[in-house]
Amino acid sequence: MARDPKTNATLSDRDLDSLLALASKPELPAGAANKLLQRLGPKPMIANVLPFPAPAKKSGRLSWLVGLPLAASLAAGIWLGAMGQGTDYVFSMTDELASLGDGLSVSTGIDDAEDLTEEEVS
Amino acid sequence: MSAAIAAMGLQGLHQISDADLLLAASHQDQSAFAQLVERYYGIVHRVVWRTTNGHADAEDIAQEAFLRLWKNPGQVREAKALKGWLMRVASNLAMDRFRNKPLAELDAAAEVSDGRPNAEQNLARNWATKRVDAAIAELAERQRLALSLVHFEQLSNIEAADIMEISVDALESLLSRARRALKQHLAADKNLLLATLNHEDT
Repeated sequence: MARDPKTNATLSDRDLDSLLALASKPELPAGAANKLLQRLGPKPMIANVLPFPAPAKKSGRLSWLVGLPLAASLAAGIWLGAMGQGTDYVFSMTDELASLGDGLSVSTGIDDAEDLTEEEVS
Repeated sequence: MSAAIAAMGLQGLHQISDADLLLAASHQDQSAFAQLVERYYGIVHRVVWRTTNGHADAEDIAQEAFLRLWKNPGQVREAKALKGWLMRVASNLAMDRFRNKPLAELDAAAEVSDGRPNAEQNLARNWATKRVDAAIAELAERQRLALSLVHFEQLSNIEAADIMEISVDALESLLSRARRALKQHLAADKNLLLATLNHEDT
């Protein structure tokens, strides 16, 4: 590498090394290592999703009792179906319910709306 | 390993190799990691401090390098390369952080005392120190890093080149340009600076 005679004339390598010895020296900040060690957290990832509150735990015995009438109802339905009586019973019930509405005048308010028109009011 | 290290106590930790400490630290052994911090925090902080021209963020950057080691020790493939790995990560963090910062901010942060009790009384030396610091701050960041590793930290050219991930020839070129630039920066005050040196010698 070509040397620059001008710079070599101004400052020698030895002088430069001596001057570099005057450069500021960093001081280790007090308590730096402790501060670093305090920043060490546990390694497992921290979940940033909040879970919904857990639903109240149901008693296993109570849920079994609730299921008992449902199971009995299902068994009765199967038995009635097998006997051929279930459909007649259900149809007779729906006919009775339908007949309850016969002859009743249902007030919907639609027929009364004419009384409330602007013409009638004025 | 962690239990064995714990059983050795703090006195014994000094005798454990980097490899064993790194292995224990990978199992979240904080005492082993603390020993690695004790071994290498100083040199990492000094390199970052010089790379950033003494910026106040130097401490934070040095700590960030160690936190990366704590979170993922597997990044260090060979324990004997740990010191170099830490300095490489820290210097890269420093250069990334200050790449787009205005130079004025770094210059303002370069006003750092040399810590000597009589520094204020010795005006000539104080002036010379600031003059040399300013000349170093004027260097390109990679020249400054090369100078810091080889001149100030006394690492070999091979070690420094490895840390900077460049060839030894490239490192020597950086060092040569850094020294030439320093000579040029300091040339204007050569006589005063040399007089200060002579005063120091007597």
